[in-house]
Amino acid sequence: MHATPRLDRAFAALSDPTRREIVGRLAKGSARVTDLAEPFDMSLNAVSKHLKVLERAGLVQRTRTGREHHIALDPEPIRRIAGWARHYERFWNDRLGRLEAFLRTSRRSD
Amino acid sequence: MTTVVKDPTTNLLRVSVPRRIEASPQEVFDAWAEPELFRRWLEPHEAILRKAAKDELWYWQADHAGRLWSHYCRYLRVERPRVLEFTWMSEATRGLESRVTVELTPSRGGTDLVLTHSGIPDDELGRGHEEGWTHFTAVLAEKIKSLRR
Repeated sequence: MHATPRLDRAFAALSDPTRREIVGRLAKGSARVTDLAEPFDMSLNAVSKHLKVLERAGLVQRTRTGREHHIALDPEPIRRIAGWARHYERFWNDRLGRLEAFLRTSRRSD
Repeated sequence: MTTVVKDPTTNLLRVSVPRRIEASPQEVFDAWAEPELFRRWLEPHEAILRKAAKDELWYWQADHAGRLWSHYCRYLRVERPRVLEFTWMSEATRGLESRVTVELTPSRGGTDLVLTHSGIPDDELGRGHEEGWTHFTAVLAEKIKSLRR
């Protein structure tokens, strides 16, 4: 499977357990930055840093209403690599690679 | 490029995998349709394979991603050397009869193969939202591990 730079950024962003928890929280619905900071016992500043990483990875989107920042999940990068479809994509790429190799060697021995 | 498409009416997924192969369509077709050739590259853990013919049944166990997967299949279209189509049932299709179509087109002295696997249930929709996300993060964790390796 070819990971695009965008997917690589998504993987890197989600390698951090706090950011995975933030994503898990956002999966239930969008939230204000202050709401997100609450369960983590973290400063707003620290949460903002995590959110910036997630934003750059294209995993969340920020909208401003006056002074409030609302954060919503953009599941597309995750969706692209989830589920059985990806399972089958890997599976068939793997098997077709074997088919190719098999035909290459059987040709040589003809 | 590999594509994944969701049918908006059934919510079932279709995965298309193209592959260029340096052998004639006849050779590629026989590698699928002749049991003794098929076995050599499919590398099943266990299998009951038959020469491809319409409505012929076959069974095999794949050793994939660290475990064994049983598959139950039936040939639907056997048109040498252009099309081979069969049903595909396993735990991963949740017992649904998904469909695999292998299309072979002669091209520049070789073969352009397109494998289309359709009717795959969308796992993330089958679960609740939250549970689905737990599944996503598990998939991600696994993926991250493999990237680091």
